[in-house]
Amino acid sequence: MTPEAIAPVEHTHIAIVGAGPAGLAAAAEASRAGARVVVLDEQAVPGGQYMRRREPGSSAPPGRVRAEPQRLKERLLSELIIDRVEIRTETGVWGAFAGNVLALHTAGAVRFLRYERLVVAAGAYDRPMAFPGWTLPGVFTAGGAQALVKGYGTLPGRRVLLSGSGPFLLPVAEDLAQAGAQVVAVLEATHPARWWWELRHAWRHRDRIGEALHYLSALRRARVPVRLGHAVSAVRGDGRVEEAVITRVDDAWRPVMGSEETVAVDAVCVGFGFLPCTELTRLLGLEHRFDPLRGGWIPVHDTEMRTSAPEVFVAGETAGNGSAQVAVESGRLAGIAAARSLGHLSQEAAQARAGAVRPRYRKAREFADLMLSIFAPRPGIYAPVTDETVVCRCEEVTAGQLRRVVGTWRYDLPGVKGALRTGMGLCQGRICGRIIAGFLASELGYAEEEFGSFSVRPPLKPVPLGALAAMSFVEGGDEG
Amino acid sequence: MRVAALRGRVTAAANVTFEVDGRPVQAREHDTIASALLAAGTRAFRRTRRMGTPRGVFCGMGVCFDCVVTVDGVRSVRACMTAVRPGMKVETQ
Repeated sequence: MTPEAIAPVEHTHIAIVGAGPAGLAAAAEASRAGARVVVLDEQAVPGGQYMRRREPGSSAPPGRVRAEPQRLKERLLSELIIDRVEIRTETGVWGAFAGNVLALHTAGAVRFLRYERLVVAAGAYDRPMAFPGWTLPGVFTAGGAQALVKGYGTLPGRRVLLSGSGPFLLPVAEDLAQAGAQVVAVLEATHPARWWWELRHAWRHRDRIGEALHYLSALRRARVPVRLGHAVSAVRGDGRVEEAVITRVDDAWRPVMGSEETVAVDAVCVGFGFLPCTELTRLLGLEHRFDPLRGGWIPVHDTEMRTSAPEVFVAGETAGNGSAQVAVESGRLAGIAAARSLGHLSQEAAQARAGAVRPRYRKAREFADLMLSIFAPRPGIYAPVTDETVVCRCEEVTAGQLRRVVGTWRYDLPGVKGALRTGMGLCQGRICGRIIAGFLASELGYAEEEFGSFSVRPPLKPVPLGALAAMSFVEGGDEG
Repeated sequence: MRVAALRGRVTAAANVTFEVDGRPVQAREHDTIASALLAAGTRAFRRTRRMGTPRGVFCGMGVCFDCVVTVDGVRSVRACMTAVRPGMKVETQ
């Protein structure tokens, strides 16, 4: 069935999926070059996660560092050539048809959009880890907790513990403390020895280091202890989070026996870096490779951010974990190249514009890779997982089931899915995929990429029945 | 709980009322179902089919589908991605 048979198909030069730093930067460059652009985003306001608006009056006036995301958003929005850019919020992409057509879902209706070029800048989400008790209400991802505070002025809890790795935990802790939560501690699993050794490369990035120091001093003022080489190993409670077990971890992040201490908390926020959103790039059948440093399976792309399909570009976190700065500059490169490939820019003009972006991109990329290598999750993080620990939240599959299935036979992720239904729930393996691969890799001693990845299928996110029913209504010609 | 309530300030007026399992819940404009329920002190939004264990908001950004609720008769809607509307009828699953 062709999309035309279902609903009218709109048309644009360049479709951009994601209105975060990368998507908006791509839209700015492409529209400046003269292309018509449609930017699609699932959220209610453009900006993505990094530039999420702050709840008015929720906290003290943001300082120099905290004002940065809003300044970036204003700058990117002001760069858009408004006549040529349409930003569609609350619009999810749930499928892709042959002939460069995206299937959209917006306001309860199904729509189709044909593009000549596509930029996928779908962002990333917190990388979760399984541990006993992590399905209890009151366990949040760090990014989810920050979104609640920043976006809606709602605290995840009164007494909050943060656990994970990477610099992102610090601004989340500051947001929570500033909003009035008692942040019991920030647990950073990485050992300081790793930092000092790696940071010798960081002299070119004094501004970024300064940002981390800003957060650390803010946390010291708020009396929030930052404990290095520690992690949460279990969460307990009757129907909700009541206490958490903190352990010291060794260099491989294995819990140190006898170091357990129990703290009373009503919320635990975890974040071990991020995972790139690659559902759409995988659905499009693009070539991917496993890059353990930049978040796992990422679409292969060249220096112009062009993927294995010549009409598709990637930018930002979808192209591999980086930072907001990496996202902006990669978005610019993708926007320039997409507009150039449609003839909106001459070869020389495109080269001049991209040439101005590249040094900034490279510098940001270098620092992001340094951070990613310092804070990369280590295999011991799976050690607290018991047979009873749920690894697939949707289908409620436990580590014990997983161990039994792979005990005599080595399965890859599609094999495990067939045997246990892992990854067949509503999240389509977004949460459990890397957990299962990482857990099995640490148990069996294989490399994580050998387990492959779950296949994706449309709809990427469920489309309400009402919207599907409306498709036949639209066919009647009442819309469009 | 709300940020302002904890900091001893006057909370912005709750200006949207919606229904959860037949009970009225006060929310603020721009709230999602998830942020409004958490602010009202509700942690568990549903029970799982197999083990019957409670679940609530986990990822908070539309990825994990753990916070799904029934909204005006439509099942498995993500509470964290759905803005509250006056008179909206939410049922836990």
